[in-house]
Amino acid sequence: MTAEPAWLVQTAAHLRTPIEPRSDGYDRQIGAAVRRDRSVRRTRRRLGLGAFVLASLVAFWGRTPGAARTTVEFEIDAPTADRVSLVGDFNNWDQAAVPMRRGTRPGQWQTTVPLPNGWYRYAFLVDKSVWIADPAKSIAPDADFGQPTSLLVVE
Amino acid sequence: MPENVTQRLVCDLSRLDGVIRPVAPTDGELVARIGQGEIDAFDILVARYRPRSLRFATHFLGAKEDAEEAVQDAFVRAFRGLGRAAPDRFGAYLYRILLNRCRTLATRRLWWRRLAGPIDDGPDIGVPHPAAADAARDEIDQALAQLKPEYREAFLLKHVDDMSYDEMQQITGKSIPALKMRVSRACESLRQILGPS
Repeated sequence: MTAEPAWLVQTAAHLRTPIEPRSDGYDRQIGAAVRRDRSVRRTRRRLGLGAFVLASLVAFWGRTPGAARTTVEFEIDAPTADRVSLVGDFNNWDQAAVPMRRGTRPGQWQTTVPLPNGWYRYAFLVDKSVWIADPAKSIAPDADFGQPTSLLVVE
Repeated sequence: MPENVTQRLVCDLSRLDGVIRPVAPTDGELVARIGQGEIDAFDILVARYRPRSLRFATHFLGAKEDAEEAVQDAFVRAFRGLGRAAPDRFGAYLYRILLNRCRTLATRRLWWRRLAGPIDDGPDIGVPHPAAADAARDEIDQALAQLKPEYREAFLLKHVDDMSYDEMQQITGKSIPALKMRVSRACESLRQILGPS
């Protein structure tokens, strides 16, 4: 077996240098994309392809130029909570993305999020540990993370 | 009494030795767990294969942004079709998908460049490698960029990922003689650019 020439050894060594992703959360981003895709396919299966295409078309044609995003207000009563955050498929279920602020009423937490037309699933994360679906909304049919989520339609 | 306790612990540990070992789950075990609904097991596969995948895609496509897109897309598609994959061959299965995504992205980018006209915005494949600060490394990246895509992919699989020709055949679907020819031509082109003159 002949030894590899020096230029080839040097080239291969350079090309074997690990490539770091641009962000530390890249692996989590992949995991979130996989879960999102799984969720969309499940919804599509449940609704049937025809209904899914129709809903997509309605959502697409229903958009108003220049007003593509609707500001949605979320609120929940959690009197004993120290902190509450909003997690959903619109923020990759990132508990740090949308922290909620205390509302005007005691125990009330609220936040607003601008969202394009579409279907979303979300929940509230209380004190970084307790996952609560929105009591004011319907529960989404499947629980991707083994936790109940609420369904939101923005149109 | 304390001596007896110490002795008993030593005995217990020696009995455990060889029985309990921190063995990482195999790809097949992880695929089986995913099949049972444990989606978190896929995160382990991502952590296991992402470094190699990203390195391959970055060298193939030449831009980290494109490479990250291709790798993410490959993992999503791999998860989607996991039921069709041989559980113990997840790596080859993922690489096959990744290679197709890279080819598609490269073709799309070429198409857009042609459509955009003769705007010279640098070489087609100029890998902005974080460690490629020196000229020699830049030269390697530029030389790799000059290879035909099929030669580049064969070279990367063979000499960077250290795959056998059998493994390469599974991934690319090409015959072994064809792959050997591609690797040989890639090496010859690189030698002309990088080798001693």
